[in-house]
This record gives sequence, structure tokens and C-alpha cells, in this order.
Amino acid sequence: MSAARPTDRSDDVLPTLVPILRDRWFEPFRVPWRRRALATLWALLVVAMVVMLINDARSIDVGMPALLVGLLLNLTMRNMGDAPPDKLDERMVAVRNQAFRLAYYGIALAMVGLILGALVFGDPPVNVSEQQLIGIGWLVSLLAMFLPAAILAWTEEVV
Amino acid sequence: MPRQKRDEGPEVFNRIAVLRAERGLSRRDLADATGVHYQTIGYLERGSYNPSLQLALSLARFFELPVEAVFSLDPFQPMSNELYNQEARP
Repeated sequence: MSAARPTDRSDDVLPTLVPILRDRWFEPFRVPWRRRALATLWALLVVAMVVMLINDARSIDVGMPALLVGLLLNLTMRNMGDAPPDKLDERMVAVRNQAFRLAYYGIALAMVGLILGALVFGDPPVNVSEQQLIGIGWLVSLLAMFLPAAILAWTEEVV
Repeated sequence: MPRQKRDEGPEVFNRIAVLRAERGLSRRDLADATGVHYQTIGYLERGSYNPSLQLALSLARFFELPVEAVFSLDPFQPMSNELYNQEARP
């Protein structure tokens, strides 16, 4: 008897995939270039939001379309960014963990940038208006919700 | 030097594609039997992803082969070569 034979561990301990991983909705969007186009559009809206934040404009006007594009992006990525780990298979969990790691760095950099911007360009320094405060809240929420999906859209050919 | 994978580990070679083709299975059939997404089978076959020990053992059990017949740290010889050499031995 070979020592390398598989163990007696039952198949039922393997993850059961969520139905959304097999659905056919939004299939036309699940082409790599369309996902990347959506991710790019979302990133441009976020950048526009940052510019409006710095200029003390109503950044929420851009935040709302960014939210809608982000939701669509999430759907085209089969909600991989949101699914519980036990509902994904091991490769998907690994891919998502990598995206989370990059997103964490991205959010940390964005926060440092915002704080430095407020310190350097604020008049007087660290003077944040109520409008800017709301904008910052929107920005952080958008990044936390959709940055992993945007990274996955760029890095993964197929999901 | 072996190509590094996404997880920075050494490359693990496998015969999943050959074994699957021999049995006339689709990637989806194999994925359903082993509890992963069918695209993960594609990643495994292309050598783009190294499976966990659990998945490797599940695949070996599915093919009813020892795990070293399915996975190896060294490139596999073509099965026809191995079979011919085995038969040619006294």
C-alpha cells in the first residue's frame, strides 16, 4: 500500500460554491477588457472626486456615479470581493487575499495623501469644511467597497 | 531555475489535463467532483496555480492514483515514453 494515497477526508468538507459564481447575469460585461474599462471608469471617477475634494467642490456629485459604477463592477466580478471565504474555492480566496492586500496599501496611501494634502494646501492648515468631510467619508467608503473588485478586474483574466 | 508562481512557491507539475482527457471528462465535471470552480481546474492544468495539499489529495483520489502520479516537482515524461520504457524493461 502506497503511503502517498489520498486520505479518507470526505469531499463534503470542500467549499460549496455560491450560486453567483455560476450565474449568467451580466455575462456580456464579464469580458476582461470590459471589466478593465469599468475599473478604469471607476478609478477616474474616484480621482475626479479627490480633485473636487481638494477644491472644496460638491464631490458627492461624482461619488454617486462612482458608487453605481462600483456596484456594476462588483457584479461583473461575481461579487468575489464580498463573498464569504468559505463560499469560494482556495484559488479564489488566494486571489482575493492578494487584491485585499493591494487595496489595503491603496487605501493607506490615499489616506496619507489626503492628510498631507490638508496639511500642506489647507488654508489655514488642516481646515476641512463639512462638505469635504462628507466627501472624505464617501471616498473612504468607495475605496473600501470597490477597490478590491477594481484590482481583481485588472489582474484576473477570468473569474 | 523553476518558474515562480503567484504565491512565490516552486512550480509543481501535474498530469491533470492528460488524466482528464483519458477519462473523457470536462473541466466542469472534474471541478464538480473536487469542489472547486471549473476555472481553477484550468489554472491547475496550465500550471498557473499550485493546489493545496487537500486539493491535490482530492484530485489524486478522484483519479484513483497515488498523488505522486498526478503531481511532481519535476517535469513529467510523456506517458507514452514511460509506458514504452516500462514494457521494454526485462
